Amino acid sequence: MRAWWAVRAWLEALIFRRREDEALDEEVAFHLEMETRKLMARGMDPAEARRRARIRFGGEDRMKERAREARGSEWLPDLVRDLRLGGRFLRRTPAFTLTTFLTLALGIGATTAMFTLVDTVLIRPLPYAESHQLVDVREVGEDGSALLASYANFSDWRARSGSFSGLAAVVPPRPATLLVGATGVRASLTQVSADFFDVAGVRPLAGRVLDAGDHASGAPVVAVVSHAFWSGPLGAPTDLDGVVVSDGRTPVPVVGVMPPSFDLPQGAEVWISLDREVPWNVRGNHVVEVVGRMVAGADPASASTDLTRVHEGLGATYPDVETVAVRVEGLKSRLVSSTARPLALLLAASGVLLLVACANAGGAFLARGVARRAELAVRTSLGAGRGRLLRQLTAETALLGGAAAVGGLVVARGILAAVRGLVGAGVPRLAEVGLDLRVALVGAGVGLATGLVFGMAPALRLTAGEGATLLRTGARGGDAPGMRRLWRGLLVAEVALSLVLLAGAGLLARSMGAIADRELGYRPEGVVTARFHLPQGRYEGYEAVAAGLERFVAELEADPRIDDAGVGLMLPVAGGGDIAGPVGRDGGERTEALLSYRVADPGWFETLEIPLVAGRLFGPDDGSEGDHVAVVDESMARLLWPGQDPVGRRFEPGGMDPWPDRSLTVVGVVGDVRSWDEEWGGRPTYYVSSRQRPAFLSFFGGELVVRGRSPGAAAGALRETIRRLDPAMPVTVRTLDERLARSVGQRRLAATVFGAFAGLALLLASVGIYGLVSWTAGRRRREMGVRVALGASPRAVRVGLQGEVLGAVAAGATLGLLLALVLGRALGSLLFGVGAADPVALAGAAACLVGAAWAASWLPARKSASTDPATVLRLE
Amino acid sequence: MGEGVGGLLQGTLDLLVLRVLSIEPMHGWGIGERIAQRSHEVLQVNQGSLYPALQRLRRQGWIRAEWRRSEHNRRARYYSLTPAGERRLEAEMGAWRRSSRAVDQVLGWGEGPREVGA
Repeated sequence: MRAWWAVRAWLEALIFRRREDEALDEEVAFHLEMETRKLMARGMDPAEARRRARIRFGGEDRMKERAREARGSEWLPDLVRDLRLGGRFLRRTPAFTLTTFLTLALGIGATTAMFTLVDTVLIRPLPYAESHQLVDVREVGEDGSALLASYANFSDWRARSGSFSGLAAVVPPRPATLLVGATGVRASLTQVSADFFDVAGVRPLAGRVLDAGDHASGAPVVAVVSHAFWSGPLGAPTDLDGVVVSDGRTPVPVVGVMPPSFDLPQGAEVWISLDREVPWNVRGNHVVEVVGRMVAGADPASASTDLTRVHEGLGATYPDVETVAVRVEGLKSRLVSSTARPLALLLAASGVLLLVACANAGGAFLARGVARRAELAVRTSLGAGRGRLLRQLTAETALLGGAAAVGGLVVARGILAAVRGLVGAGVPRLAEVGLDLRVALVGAGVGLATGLVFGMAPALRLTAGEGATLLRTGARGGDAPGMRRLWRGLLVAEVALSLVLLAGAGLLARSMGAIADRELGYRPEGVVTARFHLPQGRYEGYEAVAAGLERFVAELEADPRIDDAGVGLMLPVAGGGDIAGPVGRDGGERTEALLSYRVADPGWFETLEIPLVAGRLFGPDDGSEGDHVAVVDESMARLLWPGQDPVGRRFEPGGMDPWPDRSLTVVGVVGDVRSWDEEWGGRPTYYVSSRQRPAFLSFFGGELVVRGRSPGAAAGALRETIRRLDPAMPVTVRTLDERLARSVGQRRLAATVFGAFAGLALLLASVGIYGLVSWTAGRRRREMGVRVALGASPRAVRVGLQGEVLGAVAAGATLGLLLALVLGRALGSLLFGVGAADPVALAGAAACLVGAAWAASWLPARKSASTDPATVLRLE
Repeated sequence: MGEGVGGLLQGTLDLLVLRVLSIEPMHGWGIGERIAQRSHEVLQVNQGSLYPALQRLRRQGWIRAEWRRSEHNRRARYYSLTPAGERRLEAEMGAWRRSSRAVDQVLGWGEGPREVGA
């Protein structure tokens, strides 16, 4: 009941504000009339009675104001008034407003963008039903490294494990050229086993998914396509009947379209059956990804145990199972595992940047507030309560914070676009990233919180104290109590946080440098590569493949723009699945260690400038008829034949080789080649001849590598030659440098974004310092004038002014260094070749910051010190 | 507050207003008059405080307002207690009595039998 009356009174007051005002007017009129009547009844004449009544009543306007406040109806019009007034004040000081706006917008934008990334990539579940049940399954080698599964092992797991309601094999997507009508279209083609779509638990948007009939051995090929492929190249037909794509030989009917959110395996556009022609049923052939859906109650750990038990059983039955365990990992965590730490770090970095921005904006507000103290003092003495002033100041900060939040969203969009451009496909789920309502809300929340943080502290400080004190100190331009301390504190915090960012950026930059300086064992500069896939049907039989590729290389070498050309498989960039498994030595026992297996022709070594250490490269006599030969690197030579001459020795390749037990004769030894990625780094490697192993290049495609005088011309020649010889062959032409840069994409993303944040923080800190010194100089102009007049040199004055600020900077830098030492460890695996406490990075960051601080304080200090004292003294 | 004689304590005005309204619904002027009469003109309610106090009490939900004809057949805004207001008045009066008795006891200290040597 009481609540009802209260709410009613308040609502009336709010909605019928004017009516309430009129009611009060009427009440007052009534009151005066009654009072007059009373006085007249005592014999007073009417005019006098009215006058007395009015006097007794007192200040009518003040009473009405208080009555309105008591009604609680004034907050809305007050707010509007405050905002309008705030807007006017902000417009009056455009430099302040713009600087603060930009500062905050940058901070909010950076944080919002990073939050968006983290949210999309790490937090949101995958867009599949019961996605926590979805797992990625890999084999684990003796040395603990994870491998793709072999199809034979996969089918045995599927038959023998009880942990899954479904297991499906996926051949990682590869580019293919498909004909839609007469137009050739590049598409990312993937082959999937039966149950794949059931495991994913996604229904098609139109048509159907692959069914048992499509997976039957020798069944005609049909395709399911992605939403993007359907709406793009296919032209979004409403009826799938009669829609076909062609691989150049046979028409492939399109039977279904997946929803836009379906992205499994990542990037796939066309799904066809894997089971209808299982390519290579060799257990050492690790070519399929396995996705599974666990039964309810199972978790990745228990499923790993279960599958490992099954796998050990396989190992006991089949001697060619060379892996020792199975690892089951949540699909999402598998997708994002390598990304989680860099993203979390960048979010933290953006948070630090936001704090720096807040500190800066707080300082600016303080400075401006000081300039407005006289005004605030006058308003206080005219009767404005502290609450009223606080509300006014808060309205201004809210206005600025709100504008900054909007600006921040724009900045966030820009940052996200830049990040997308920077890493391309390097970060999973990036395509899902977009600003949405959630993010906008987060941005607005951050903006509001920011406004409160940077606005309230100065506002509280400014309005502290009695009106008289305010008036006195404000008018004279003195400092409010504790104001300098507050600002000093802000500065120390700002400097410390900026230093943390700078140190982090320094460490990451040093890591990038260490990576670039690494001895690679070959020369990537100037090499242009073409990743190719042989179009199905063009090259019948492996002989034709070998001959076709040799013709490519020969034509390329004949081109005057190209000096060297070669063909092979697995460039030493990250991401190759080139593990061969253990090899047998001279017909004896197999080694424990896994080795890397690569296919090459002689031109491969010449083009990449991999040095020949002993023996020879593949020659014209190493054909399909003769001895099967291999070139080994120095690590492998040391591993298998320590202290002996490896040339002429024999070993059995095992693993994924088509002739695992047929001995290869070592004809040459080349230098070790290292990848930038440690995971793929230092494995002993052997090379087999492209002419003796064309099957690999036929199945996986390969790389054409060329080196010319200029990469541009070489790339042109490469493209032209390919177009001339086989226009249907899908290729991706890139410089090797570019490929290498992409292989360290995440590292580079982290370094670049961190660096950008650090640079911004440095800029903000400099602006803050500049502001503080200008402000101090302005406050103490009179004192400076007197000192100069009394004979102090301008230099001494300048040094004095700067010294004070630089003291705070030194304190901040010390604090920052300590923080950086502690937090540097969080960079962990992102560091390469430098420790978390790398003195060069830390000292560099500190020097950078102190230098910037000195410069930022020098300008205003010098200006102040060089003013003519007479002018100053006259002014005051 | 500094309003009225002796400066009414904060909250005291609210109590007086509620008490007056517990007799019968009354308009603003009448409330002031009643308080003055009952206190033999000792308590003079400042109008600048009365109307804001009425708004405040209304917002608390303790009183409600309605327009009626006054004794001179003129439209006036009459205030009356809500049930919550009645409860509030009771509680406030209890509290007031307790504290005023306590104050009396402190003020009356030493007025009893005189202490030896005092």
